[in-house]
Amino acid sequence: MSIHTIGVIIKDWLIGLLAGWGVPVELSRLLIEVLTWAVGAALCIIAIMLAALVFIYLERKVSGYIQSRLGPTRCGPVGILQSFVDVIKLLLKEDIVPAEADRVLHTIGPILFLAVSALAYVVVPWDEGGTVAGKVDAGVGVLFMAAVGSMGLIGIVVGGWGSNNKWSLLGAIRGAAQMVSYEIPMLLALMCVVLQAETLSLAGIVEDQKGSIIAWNFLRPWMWLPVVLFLISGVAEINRTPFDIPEAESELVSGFHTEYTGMKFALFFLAEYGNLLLVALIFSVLFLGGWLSPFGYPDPLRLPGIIWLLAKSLLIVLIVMWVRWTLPRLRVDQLMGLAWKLMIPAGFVALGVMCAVIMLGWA
Amino acid sequence: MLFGLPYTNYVEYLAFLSVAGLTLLGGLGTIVARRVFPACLWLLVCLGGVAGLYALLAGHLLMAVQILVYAGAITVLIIFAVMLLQRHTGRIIMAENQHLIGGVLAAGFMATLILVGIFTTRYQPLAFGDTPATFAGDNVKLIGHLLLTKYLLPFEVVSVVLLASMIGALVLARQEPGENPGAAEAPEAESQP
Repeated sequence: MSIHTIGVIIKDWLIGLLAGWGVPVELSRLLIEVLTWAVGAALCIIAIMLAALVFIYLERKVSGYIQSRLGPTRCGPVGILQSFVDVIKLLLKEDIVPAEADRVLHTIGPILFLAVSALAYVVVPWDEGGTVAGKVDAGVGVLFMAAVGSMGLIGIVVGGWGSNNKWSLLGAIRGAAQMVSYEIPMLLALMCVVLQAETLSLAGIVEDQKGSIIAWNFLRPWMWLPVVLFLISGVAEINRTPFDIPEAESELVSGFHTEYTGMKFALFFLAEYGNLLLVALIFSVLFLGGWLSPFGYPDPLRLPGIIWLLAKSLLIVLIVMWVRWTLPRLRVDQLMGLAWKLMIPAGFVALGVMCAVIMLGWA
Repeated sequence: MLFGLPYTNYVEYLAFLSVAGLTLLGGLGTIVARRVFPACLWLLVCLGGVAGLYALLAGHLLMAVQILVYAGAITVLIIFAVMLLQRHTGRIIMAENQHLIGGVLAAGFMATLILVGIFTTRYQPLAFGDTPATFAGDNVKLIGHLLLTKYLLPFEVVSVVLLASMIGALVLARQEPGENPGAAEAPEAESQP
């Protein structure tokens, strides 16, 4: 049973319930439509919060494992309550705004960052039924995701600017330059997948890979370069090590969020972990068949598609964490050089190869 | 039914009012804000509102492109310019306007143009809240096809404009050999009170 069917059942039940109270069917349909949007919007935020709770714990444990430590062990069995303790700690902290900071910009910076992150979740195809609103993404999911992703840096810039601090501003400028640069190879890799699937809809890209694991994009040889490009630029877009120069602790004192404490700092971190999950989800949708089961379509195990999608995403998240705790941070010039001298030319090569594959009729 | 209209129309109406109001508020904020940085953010609100209007008109591709190009790229570009300039000259850039008459004339001309466009277009009569069948769903393929066949020449001309502006930016930013970087700005920065 897919998530979509459950949604339809709940809707029909609610209409029946309201009809019993004497509400006209037309009005109750409308109310439920509005309610669906509200629930969908709430689910986007909840997904980010759950991602942050799980990933904070996971990150500590993974880093511990890689560095031959135990990681958190004190809070609950094997430290599983560590994230909750972290959340409570952040909530109880004093909210400090520097005297010279722009109070309004300082406040809306993290809100904007989180809002933009949540907005991109609207087009993620969780299951066969489609996105959170239970509809398809109007045929422009890829474009919308890329558009909203490019707005993420505005939150960073507003926060860094509003702090009125040299470290923050430097971090914000670095972040903006980095995100603008790595967007290009990311979009080039996306273009290859779009050409393969002949649609801009994320749900359509999953449909295109319908079948067992053999039909997925990552097993097509001309997709190997886009896979690598997308993974690297995805990690760079979400400012994680080895690409975390906007918040480099050792040189910029945490960069754009130097002046943030308590809940506002937590908002930045929520959004960062939300973005991590988002990149993993989009990667799974583009190259690993999204909600499809590896054993063929329809799924012989009869599991909901969302479980497969989350399992694939978790795999990607673990790879990204593994990279974070293995590689050192890049220098600014190395980072820019990698984007402009290596990845963008490679992106054009991948696009050319993809076009050739289509012309030759192999796709 | 409420006031003689189906309920669905009210949702669309409310959505339109809120998005249009947001657009107007953003536009007003852009010209009223004294400092340039908040003005940029108001512009972002305005452009986002326009994207919402496109979405209401079932122009989903246009909405995504509006966000990508205007909200994502143009606003970021302006913010970049403001950030680099403001920290370079060390003063807060205020939004000043010494071209009141020219501005009024330009705005009046644009308003007339838009009004003439609105009132001379012959619209297909549709029921309120209806969308034409051809626009429902995935119209990306249709637009792409038209762009590369019927409208190929205008499409290419627009890209030449972009190329020209890119070359222009390079020429402006290029330094002659031996020229001291930042020499042009330095005296200006000192003369500020």
